[in-house]
This record gives sequence, C-alpha cells and structure tokens, in this order.
Amino acid sequence: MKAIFIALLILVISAFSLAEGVKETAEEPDNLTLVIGTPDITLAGFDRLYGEYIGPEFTRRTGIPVEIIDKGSATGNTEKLDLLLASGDPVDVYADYMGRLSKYSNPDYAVDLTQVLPESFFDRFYPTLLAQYRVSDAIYALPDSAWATAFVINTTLADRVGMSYLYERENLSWTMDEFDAFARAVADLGDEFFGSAFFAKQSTGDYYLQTFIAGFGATIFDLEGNIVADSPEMIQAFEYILSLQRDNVIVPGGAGIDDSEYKRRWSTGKIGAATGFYFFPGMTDGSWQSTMIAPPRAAGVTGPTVIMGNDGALVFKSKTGRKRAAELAAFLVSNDIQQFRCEAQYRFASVPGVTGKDDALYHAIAGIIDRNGILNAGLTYSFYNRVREAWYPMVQAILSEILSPAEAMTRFAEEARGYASK
Amino acid sequence: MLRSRRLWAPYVVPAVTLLFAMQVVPIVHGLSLSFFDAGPRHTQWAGFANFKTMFGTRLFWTGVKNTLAFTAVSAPILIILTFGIAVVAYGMKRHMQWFVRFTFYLPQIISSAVLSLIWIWIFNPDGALNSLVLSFGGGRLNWLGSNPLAFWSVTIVLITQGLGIPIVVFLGALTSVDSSLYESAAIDGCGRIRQALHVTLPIIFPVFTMQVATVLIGSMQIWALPYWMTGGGPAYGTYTLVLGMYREMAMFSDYGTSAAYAVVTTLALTAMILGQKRLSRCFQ
Repeated sequence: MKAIFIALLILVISAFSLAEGVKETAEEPDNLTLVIGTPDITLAGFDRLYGEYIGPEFTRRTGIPVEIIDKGSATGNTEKLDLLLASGDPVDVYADYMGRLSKYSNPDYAVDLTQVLPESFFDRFYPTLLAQYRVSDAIYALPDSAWATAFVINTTLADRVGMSYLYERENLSWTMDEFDAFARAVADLGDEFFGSAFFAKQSTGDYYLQTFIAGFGATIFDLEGNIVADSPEMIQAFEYILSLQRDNVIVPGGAGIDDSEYKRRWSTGKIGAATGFYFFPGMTDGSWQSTMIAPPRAAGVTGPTVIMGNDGALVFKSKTGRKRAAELAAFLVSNDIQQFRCEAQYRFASVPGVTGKDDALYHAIAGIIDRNGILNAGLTYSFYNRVREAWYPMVQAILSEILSPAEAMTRFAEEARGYASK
Repeated sequence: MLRSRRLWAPYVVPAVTLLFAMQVVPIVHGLSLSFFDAGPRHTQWAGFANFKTMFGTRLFWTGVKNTLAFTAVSAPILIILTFGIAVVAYGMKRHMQWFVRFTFYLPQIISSAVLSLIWIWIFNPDGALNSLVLSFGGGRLNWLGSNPLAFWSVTIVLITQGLGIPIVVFLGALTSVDSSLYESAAIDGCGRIRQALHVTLPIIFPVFTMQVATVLIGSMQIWALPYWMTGGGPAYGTYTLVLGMYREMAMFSDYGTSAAYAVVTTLALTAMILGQKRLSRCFQ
C-alpha cells in the first residue's frame, strides 16, 4: 500500500513538472477568444464598441467569430488569464493597459508579432513609443492609445486667492515657486482648504505622485530604463512634500488615502491644484470649476513631467491561429478604433494622424507633451508590476514619517534594481 | 463483517480517492512547486532557489514579524474574550443566549471584503470613529494610514470577526457540564470566576484546546483584512505571510515563490500546533 501511495505521488509530481508548453499547429482557428480591459468606458459604450463593432467587423472581414471571454479593467483579468494559461488553453488575444499586460509581453507567454505581421505594419506607430515595446528585436505587444496625466487647478480657488493668471497663460506652465505660493495661499483660506493632495494607500497613487516629483527632475526610471529613484532630486522632492505636510498645506494622512477618496476630496472644491488624468472628465468639467495645467517645475528642470499610460494588445501562444490572432490584435489598435477610443475616452493615439477630442484641454496637454516629452514610467517592462508594488509602501513610509526620504528611496531603489536585474 | 476486504472497499475507496484528489494531490503539488521556477506557462526545476530568494528578502521577514504579531495579540484576546462571553452568556436566559450567539456570529458570515469596507468607513479620517474621538475633544486620527494604528485597527477587526465560532462552540460545550458540579462548587464558596476556571475549564478542556488551535490557524492565515483595509501598509506595517503568498501568485504569477511562502507558513503552523498540544497536555 505504501509503495503504491509513494508511486502515485511521484507520478503526480512528475506530471506537473514535465508538463509541456503549448504546441502550435498551422490550422485556421474556429474562433478567437479575447480578454479586454477598458478603463473608464461605460458598459454601454463597451458593448457598442466591442460587441457591436469590433467582433462583428472582424468576423465580416475574416469569417472568424470573436468571443469576448472577459472584459473590464481589473487585476482580476490577469488572475483569470493565469488560470487559462496554466490550463494550457490560453485566450488568443489580450488587450489592456500596459501596467497589467507587461508581465505577459515576453517570450514566455506571447508571440513575437514581428514574425507574424508584415514589417511595414510597424512603421505606422510613433517610433519612440514602439521602441519602448521592443524587447531585443522582438515585439510582443502592439502599442495602443494612452491616457495622460497633467495637473488640475481649481479655477475658483485660483480666482479667490488672486492668482487667476496661473491658468490663463498660453503655455499653461508654472514654476514650483508659484505652485508653493498658490498652495499655501489656498491652505490659508481655512482649515478645510488644502493647497494640494497626494495619496499612497495603493499603487494607483504612483502616477499622481510621479507627475509631481518629475517637476523636481526626479523619476523612478531614466529614459534608458535604469532605476534612479534614489537620486538627490527624488530626496529633494519628498523633503518638499513633507514640508507641505508638516505645514498642513496638503491633505493630511496621504498614506491612508486611496484613489476614490482622493477624487472625493477633490470634488469638494477645497483643493487648490493636484495631479489629474485627462480621462477623468469629472476633474476638469465645469461642475468642479477646474482646468488642466502643466505640472509645476522647479528652476532648471527641463525633463518631461507628463506620464502616458498606453494600452497594448498581445497574442498568447495559443494552439492554433496565431496569424489570425495577430490580425485581431492589429485590428484592435487600428486607426479607426483608436480614433473612437481617443474621442470617447479622452485618450492619445499611438499612431500619427489620429487625434483625440477636439477641445482646448486636449490641445493643451498635447502641447505640454510636444514641448517636454513623456516621462518613462516603465509600464512596458516585464518587471514593472513588482517595481510598482514596491514603490507605494515606501511612499507610505515617507508620508507617515516612518522612514526618511533618503532611507525609503534607497531601500526602494535596491529592491527595484533587484527585480530589474532578474 | 467489514473486515472482509470485498465489503469495505466500496465504502472506503471513493472517500480515499476524493481525499487523495482534493487534499493530497494539491498539497503535494504545492510542496513540489516550491522547488520549481513555476509560472502559468513554465515549470523548471529550481532546487531551493525559491526559498533562498524568499529568505533573502526583507519583505518576507516583515511578513513573518507581522504575522506573529497579529497572532500573538489576537489569539489570546480571542480565546479569553470568547470563553468569558460564553460563560457569561451561559448564565443568561435562553433568548438572551440566542441574541449573544447571533450578535457575535454575524460578522463571521459577512465576507471579509464587505466587513473590511464597513470598517474602512468607520476608520476613515472623516468616519464614525473619528467623529467620536472629536466629540470627546480628541484629535483626528489616521487609523489606517499610520503605524502602529493601522496594525491595531486591523487587529480589532480580526478579533471582532473571529468571535463568533468560539463563542458558539464554547456555549455548546458548556451544556455538557453537569450543573450539580456548579452547585457543589457554590456550596464550597466558589464565585463565578473560580467556577469557570476550576470547574468549567477542566471539563471542556479538549474543546478549549481545539479552539486554541483553530484560532491560531485563523490568525496565522490572516490576509483578507489587511489586503482590503490597508493593502498591507502603511509601509508594510500590516503585511503578512499569506498576503505575500497571494501577491506572489496573483500579482506576479510566481507560483514557485508563492508555494515557498505556503510551505513555510504550513511548517510554522504545524510547529505551533504541536507546541500548543504539548503545552495543553502539561496543563491537563
């Protein structure tokens, strides 16, 4: 009996250990499966775009039905994907925000699209953007449209403290000294007023914070992808944020504030200026009396401050039909669909010639990007997820004054470099 | 009759097969995964590399420290509190006993996610608890956004969530105690507390030790509350071993390291339960 039991255990272990990867066949697929994350689009809009247009249109062109097996923007997407991958029957195409998708855009999981799509296809993307998606000579995900961060300024409060000129400037830029004066003036309006706000309860606070600290020339990644979070500029940026916190200029308790609480606070109309996303209409429409402005910059800083969060589309190493799946991925990032998403979701295209919403804010942000470029937030790196998860606890440590900025950023940089080196 | 092989086989084989498929295989698979560099699409022998990586990270030791701290604080409080509440409730009328059971069991049936949301609302800087603190002239506290307050806030929820089952089990066990023993103890001059310690506790000791083990296991496996309430923060102040296991698996798709976390947690729990059993024998 014992011998049979041990033999069974060995069999189980061997079966799991020696499981082979998926082998491709040249067959035409019966259908294609798709998981898609679509941040900030209403369900009705989603169903119109993907259910009524993308799927049927692709089927009309190729004769292959498209089945959307999961939708919505959440970490749950990748948990389900992992299960499907482990089962040996992965979804064919996955399109989502690169922060979630990047852990799959490598040869372990994804098809090298340069091998299945014509070389000329890749000429359509912005070259600098495409370069971020390139791993050695391979491309495992196609660049899709992006959201962009910038600063939001409360025009009512700016008027009230006599600093309307800040948002009336043509190029929308302002200095860190002007930000400081404005923030302190707003905070002086009363106990419930704050000059700005930062939050770090969970990972989503990172884009907000990075957009601001980039104004000091501080970034987590340099343009080559090296971790430079322990730079003197980073320490200076956090020392400044701490000084604002100690002087009650910013909303207290940032370490315990999350994304929704941040937006709720902003909606009270009692915060002067803070990072915002162009795709959150609530932060910039008339009801909150706010408008977008460039992130403030300290004297001598010339680098980019705006972060763009591109989506991507990849093809998993499915059993059949990689070429067809690549065609679907290419269709998802086609000009028509990008045009629709850019207008409906306040996004910026990954290809020249496609413009977003034709409004003043779009042109303002596009102008900021044209002048200063785009910050490398590291979204396309396969280790990005780990770095991102390591960042906000150290920001919490700084905001809670558990660690000094220098200690926290040294610890973070060490950890992040460890992930990057693997 | 069941000693005949032909007769016991139809009864035992399905159960053993299910046990093997549902319990033994996953356990063995989990154990074996800890020795592989494993993800959704790859499995490659890695020896002790996952353990070496895990033991080499500061985060793992933070998880160990916090898990032990949660256990050390919540387990004794839970046991003492639930035993005390059960003894007091046992002396009440039947409908009051039902009320106590219902009240304390309610958080148990609510999912951790929902419970966390309720408590997040209470602990919010503008929430109910701070309103109370402010009404007593205190300052606004950052319950979930500062250390060690976040640790204590999660501990409070962990304790309130864990009260239900031990109270119900203790109340059930108390009914097995012969009431004449209390009468004798009362005649000998024992008050309620001495009766509980010298009459009740020795009689229900097996149930008591089982509850200690259950509470220890529950406390050591804490992850959902910190996951929802604090995300393991601030600054990893509520980061636990099982939360680490979840992150490695769900966020980073590193099944090997996740399994290594699971193996270490299981070994630590086994050692703890064996120690507790030995200690219980001494007391008994």
